[in-house]
Amino acid sequence: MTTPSASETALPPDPTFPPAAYERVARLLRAGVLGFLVFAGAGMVSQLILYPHDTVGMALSTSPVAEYRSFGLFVHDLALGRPDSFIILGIYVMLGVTIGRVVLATFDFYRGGERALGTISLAVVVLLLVGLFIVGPFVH
Amino acid sequence: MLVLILALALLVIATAAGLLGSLAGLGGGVILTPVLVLFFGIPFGDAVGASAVSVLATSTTSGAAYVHERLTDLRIGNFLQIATVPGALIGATAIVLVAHTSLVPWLLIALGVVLISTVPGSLAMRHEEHPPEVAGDALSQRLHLEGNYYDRFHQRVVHYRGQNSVRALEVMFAAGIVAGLFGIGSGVLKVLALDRALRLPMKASTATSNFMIGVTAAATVGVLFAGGLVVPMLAAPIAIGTTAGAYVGSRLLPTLANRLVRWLFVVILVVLSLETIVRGALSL
Repeated sequence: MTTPSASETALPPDPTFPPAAYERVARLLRAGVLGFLVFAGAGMVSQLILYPHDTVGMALSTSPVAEYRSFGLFVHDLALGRPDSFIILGIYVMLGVTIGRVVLATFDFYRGGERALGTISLAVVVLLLVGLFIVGPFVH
Repeated sequence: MLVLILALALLVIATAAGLLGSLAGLGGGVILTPVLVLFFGIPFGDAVGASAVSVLATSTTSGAAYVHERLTDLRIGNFLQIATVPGALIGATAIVLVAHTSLVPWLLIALGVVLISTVPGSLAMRHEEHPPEVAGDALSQRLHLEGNYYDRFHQRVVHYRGQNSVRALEVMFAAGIVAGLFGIGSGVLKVLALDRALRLPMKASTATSNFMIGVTAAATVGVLFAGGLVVPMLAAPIAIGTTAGAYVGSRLLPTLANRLVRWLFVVILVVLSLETIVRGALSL
């Protein structure tokens, strides 16, 4: 016997989050997973092939992440094909998708006339951006 | 040790962590942080950074499946993030500042004690398949914190209403701080808030927790990035492994009974609580 999926079953409707809204978020997340696997996977495999004798100590001491707050340097290393930078690009894709899903929810709440929840979601987006661009650099 | 060997070992371990994490609503970071520190000698701060990225991977992967199944409650998940994100920013800021101090072992012991204190309450509900449906509190009613999902195990639609929403916000704020401090999703605390405070069915709790831990991790990773605590060749194999494990777990969860998911969660909770306390004590 086959079990029906949620989309095949008549769930009571939610005007703010109709099935299309759920599917939109699911598609965004799937795209994020794919993007992460492509970029981070390519970066990791390249690193292991190009530098097979690197030790853990070397990996820890040469991490460029803090410097990648400089967008110019990050793009420069991507253009040079530096494996580290592709791994970081994969992580940025997941970060972007995560912030994107909160942005989508904000739109859905406002469109559904739920101003309180829309404002809460908007505040979460602002907090995430504050963490990324203000708190992080300040702590550093 | 060669990075190559570490990467292969972490891929395997992270796959198991991702599988367990996606089933129990955890990020998997709570398993990976101690493994990195204890077994591979990775500095605590770098382990926290790598684990936080793995939480992001678990949440994104599991979330894609659970949102598609409508097991995740987008309304409740988005509402509660207003408490977890500020907490995560505070916790992540704190760990960047205290990563190299003697406070870390005491923080671990405190976390273990908090986690183990929640076990009796979870055990008390071990026979409950679905919570009784009652009228929610005033805030829950105002914000329509209710939902439904199709339970493939019972082959019926399950409806639920949120209760004790203020209490849930308080626990979520604490969960955010713990997540930021330890680079974990803090899914244990999030599931407790959803299951015990809001009284959501267990599968909706773990799925919604999985969705939320990503947003908390995003806040954490943003700060840890700037603090230089994300090492690409640690983060990549762990995140790729957890992605694979979370993908398998997210296919399994909809077909399981709520009671089985709760038992799995309690067992992991006990093991992790004890392990966290022992790890803290050994580090003193």
